[in-house]
Amino acid sequence: MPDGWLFLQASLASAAISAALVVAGARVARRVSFVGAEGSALVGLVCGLIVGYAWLGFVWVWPPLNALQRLLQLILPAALLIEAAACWPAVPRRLIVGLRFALAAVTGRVLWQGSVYLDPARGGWSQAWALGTLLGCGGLLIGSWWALGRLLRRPAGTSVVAALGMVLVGGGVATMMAGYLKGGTAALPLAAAVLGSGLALSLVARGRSLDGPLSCGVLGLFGLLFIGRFFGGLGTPAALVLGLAPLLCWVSELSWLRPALKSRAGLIAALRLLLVALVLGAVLFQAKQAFDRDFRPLLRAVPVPPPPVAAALLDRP
Amino acid sequence: MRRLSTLMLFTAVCLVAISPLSLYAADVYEYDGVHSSVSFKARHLDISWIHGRFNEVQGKFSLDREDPTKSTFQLSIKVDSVDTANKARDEHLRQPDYFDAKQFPTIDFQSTSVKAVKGGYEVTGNLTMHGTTREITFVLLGGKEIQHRDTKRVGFSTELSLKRSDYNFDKSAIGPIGDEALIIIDCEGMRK
Repeated sequence: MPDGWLFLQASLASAAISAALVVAGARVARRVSFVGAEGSALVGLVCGLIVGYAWLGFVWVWPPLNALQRLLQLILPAALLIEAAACWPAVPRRLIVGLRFALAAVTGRVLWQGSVYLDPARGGWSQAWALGTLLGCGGLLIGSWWALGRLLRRPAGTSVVAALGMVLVGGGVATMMAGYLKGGTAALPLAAAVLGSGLALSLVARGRSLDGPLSCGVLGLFGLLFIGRFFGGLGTPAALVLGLAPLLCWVSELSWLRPALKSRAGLIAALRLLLVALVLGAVLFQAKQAFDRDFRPLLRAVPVPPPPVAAALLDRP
Repeated sequence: MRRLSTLMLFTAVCLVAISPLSLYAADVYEYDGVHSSVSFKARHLDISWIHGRFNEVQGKFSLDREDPTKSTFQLSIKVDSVDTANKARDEHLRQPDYFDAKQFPTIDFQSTSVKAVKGGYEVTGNLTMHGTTREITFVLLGGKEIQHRDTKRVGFSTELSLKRSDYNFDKSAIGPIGDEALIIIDCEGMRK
């Protein structure tokens, strides 16, 4: 059974560690190095993730046996290494863009490794269908990553990281309610670390790039929804809606809306988060209904006795 | 004359070679899914048992009655076919918290050694489940062959106990459902 209190503890620990390291790193960076603030965000992310997953009792296995382990032990570390390289001005920007593109392109394939989807003989899909799905998913990931990266550099860019964190939590809960408890749980330290490092960085080092938290968040969200859809019980509509939800932040950039918002970061951020929250609410409502229909009978909770006032009303002739 | 005696000798050797006694090699049986079952039960909250079965199983075994150590047993169970008489639970069992059917679609057993024991065979082999292979040993009771219509049939039964934690199942999912599962296999093999 999911332990909400444990999830909260792990998330708070993850966010606190990430934020604390970012703040400490930013103070050092002022005296030491230009790239220190972004680098400290990555250090904060890594430590926040390690603490969060350790708190939840995740076990690390090598080589990774399943898709979730491949995401946490291969894909996310690769993303963090690319962002670490991006912190150095000497590294060409085109190389970083190319590496991000390559990682996005292979993520789906890596997550499917050893599964039935790549083996028609074991009841999997045809090669054409599998390739088409991987290309489609890869395209969505690359497109989202690029679009959110562009938005990061506009007013209220931090709200993009916040929206990503919200969707990660929502996606995790939806995956849990669809039946894959561990997959959904994995979203929580990730969301916390992304939020902790991203928000702390934007507060203590304004103008610094939030690419590190963004990359980790985008790849983590894609990976978790991909795993929830293809290995868990998450439906295709829910996975697509959740995956594309952060792009609702672009609504604030509509030409007819921008003058009304007058580049006020607070207003822009509030609008973006509200739109994302509305969509999340709809998805989670639907997920809860499906959970109550399919899984609640399995849990067969002991009926909670009504409160005294209600009991008295019920006893009236 | 010499050529004739050589030919007669060669013919005699061939006849001996193809005589019924020498022809006795292992009999190969195909698993008969219609008259077989692979079922299991696991503790629920340590107060009762949940029962289930796998509906799609394939296998083959060869029995060498002259030299039982040359017999082999092989079974492959499709994880997707898990059936606990509850659709939602079956779907949950297929997910990565339990069997992870999309990643590990089959449970496979291949024997490595067999020896005759009273009432059947003691079989040792490799069981691969959830991406982990471990050696197990169990006793197969049965092995008597009968002829039914134009098919020869042989039946076996066995019970064995496995721990999910030995096969890399998620430890956090071991709690309400017990770690240990009892597997009951009753199978028939057939050959023409």
